[in-house]
Amino acid sequence: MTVVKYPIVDTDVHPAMNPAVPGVMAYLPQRWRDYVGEIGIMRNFMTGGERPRHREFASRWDATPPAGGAPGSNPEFARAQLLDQFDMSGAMLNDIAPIFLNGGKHQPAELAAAFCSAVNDHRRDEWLASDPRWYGSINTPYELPHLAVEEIRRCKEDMGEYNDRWKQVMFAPDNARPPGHPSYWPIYEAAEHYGLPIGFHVLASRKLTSSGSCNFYFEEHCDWAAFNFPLLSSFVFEGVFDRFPKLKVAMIELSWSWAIPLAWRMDHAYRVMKSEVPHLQRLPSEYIRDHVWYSTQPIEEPEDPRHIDDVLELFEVSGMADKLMYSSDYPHWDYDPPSAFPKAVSGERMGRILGENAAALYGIDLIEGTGWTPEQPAVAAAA
Amino acid sequence: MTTALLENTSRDAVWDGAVIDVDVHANVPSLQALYPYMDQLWIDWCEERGWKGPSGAAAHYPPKSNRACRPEWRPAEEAAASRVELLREHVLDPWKPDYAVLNCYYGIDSLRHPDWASALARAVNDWVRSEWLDRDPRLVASLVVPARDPVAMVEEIRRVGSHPQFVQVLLPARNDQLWGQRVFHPVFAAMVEHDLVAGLHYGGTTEGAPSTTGYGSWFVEEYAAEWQAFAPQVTSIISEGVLQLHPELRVSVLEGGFLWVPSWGWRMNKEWKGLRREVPWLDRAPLDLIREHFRFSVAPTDAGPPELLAKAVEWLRSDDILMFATDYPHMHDDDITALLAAVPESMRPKLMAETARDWYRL
Repeated sequence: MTVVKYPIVDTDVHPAMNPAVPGVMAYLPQRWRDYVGEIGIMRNFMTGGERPRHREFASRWDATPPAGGAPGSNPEFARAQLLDQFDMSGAMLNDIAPIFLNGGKHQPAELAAAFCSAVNDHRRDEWLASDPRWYGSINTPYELPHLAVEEIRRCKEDMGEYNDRWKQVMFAPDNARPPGHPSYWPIYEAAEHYGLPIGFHVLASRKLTSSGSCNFYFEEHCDWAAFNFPLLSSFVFEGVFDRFPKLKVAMIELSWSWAIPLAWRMDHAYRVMKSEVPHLQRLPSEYIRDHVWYSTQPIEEPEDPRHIDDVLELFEVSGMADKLMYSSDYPHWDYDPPSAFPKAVSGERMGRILGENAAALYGIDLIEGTGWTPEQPAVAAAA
Repeated sequence: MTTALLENTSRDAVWDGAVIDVDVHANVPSLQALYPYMDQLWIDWCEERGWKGPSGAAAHYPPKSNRACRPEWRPAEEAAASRVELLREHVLDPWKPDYAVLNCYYGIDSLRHPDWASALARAVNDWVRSEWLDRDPRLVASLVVPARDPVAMVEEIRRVGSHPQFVQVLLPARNDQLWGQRVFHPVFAAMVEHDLVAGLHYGGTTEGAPSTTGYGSWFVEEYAAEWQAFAPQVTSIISEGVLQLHPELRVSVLEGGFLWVPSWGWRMNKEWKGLRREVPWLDRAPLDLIREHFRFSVAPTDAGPPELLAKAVEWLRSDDILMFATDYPHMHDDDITALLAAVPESMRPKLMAETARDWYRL
């Protein structure tokens, strides 16, 4: 019997988050290195309060590199533990520190821009250069759109052989204004120009819920899924997708079984309040269907395992079969290996979710003959 | 068809069994209407300052919008849903409910002065009692409380909570603090002591950004996203151990939809498995606690295509969790016939009346 292998693209991998390591700081101009030495780079970044994780870095124990350093600090080790383990075609590197800083919170504007550039330069030299299967998300000071646009341009035009390895523009889901607001449109214009999706990765340091902060990490981890609602509502009702018809949005680590019920709700709200938003050209659910992608980790676990098939079917009959993309969240504790999908998920679905959908969204080539098969022992799952 | 209106059909054609409507609204027509229920001091304060009443209600329900009132229910010369006769004409007579649960959302949270806010809450409750509850035995109601002052909340619950027609305490979904937090635990104790349901309802504080991502531009944008206010409140009440402290507590989620519950609950169950050492009092899976301690009104339903809606209802895995509501006079385009068709036959009488009858002890 032939063993079927599914080529894999992992849409969510995290380099170590500490931004103050000497490797990154070396890319800052001296003026800002001095400043960071005195004031720090993430001063008062947890404005939503602290709920210490159950492990430092919220990481897998076994993801600490044998030679030392934080999980996700060694590209070679990450390659062995992830890319090689599952014979991946590619993986997206999504940085956490710029997300905690909300694109420039509590930083002088010039430092915010210099810091994002430093992180991008470090990722290029240490990660992208180390293996052609690493792809980058561009960190930008997105609350300062003119500077964000310049950073996108720099990554896509001034990085020579690496220009095409940048595949996404990164945002946190708690912008200072809802992300559909016209103040951010210059960024979307640039993203559309370069064919880059806008990625929103979970984490908040600004505000945890619309009723203030929660008290437990358990609770925070649940509440993250609520970011989706105002975020997509803003994109839809501001008419962003009419203004930028080729713009694509990826919701990363924000779960996904909510997406279709939310689309229904937006359609209802629209039908009741249509007179307020005559500028919309289509139904909210149509914008969501055509413009929004989702990463899978943490994989949905309905009480009745059969209901995962229902959810996948809902995506398919709603015209969104091409919108789900596998993600591992390596090296974090709630990491999903490709084997995290229930065995019932069919071959065709597995192929789309594990690699094809992300390859199409980001323009990443799937490497023929590579990938993972359900026949493979779940080594990493036991690790 | 928008069934709450019963256009081109009759109530018996929609459902020939018993009906209980768990969310109808009374609107305070003007601040002056409350004067008979205020001490002279507060009347003077209102008059001297030219204050017209809290701005919160209009912030959440722009008065001229469909969201505030369905055009067919909008009276020519007076405020919508401001007299019991209007409620009778539009809901109680055509729908013939055994009971209706009356909610008066007046936006008290936008008034800061603690004594004044408490006086306003008392006036609203006494107005509801005299002008609505005393005038129609089919009505039961929520009492309102000043959300920033737990001591005053408890006092108000003690003052009116024993009235047989007050069955619930209205807790606005948006608040300065999440409702499960310890500062509010005495309030839940008072509710349980008076056998009152906690009614988590659309609306709440107008302070600060209404979302995790700042100030939205459009009203419809905010309304469409308001699951964001309800879901973390449910998670807070569960995470903080309120249900272990008060195993008798009942929480209704009103005008907040329910299609988010399965997805939200799956995530809570999963996180609980991974992180429950942090909340050791949580001795059961969150979704099991939701099914036992929470009920959800079906206006709005936010329904999708009927065959898909049936699946989304099935994911709840309970016949007892949904309760019929018209949300009078607010406009929705829900079709209760489609919802009834989407739920199992055994669930229909429960959804239309029996779950609410048990829940509110009617």
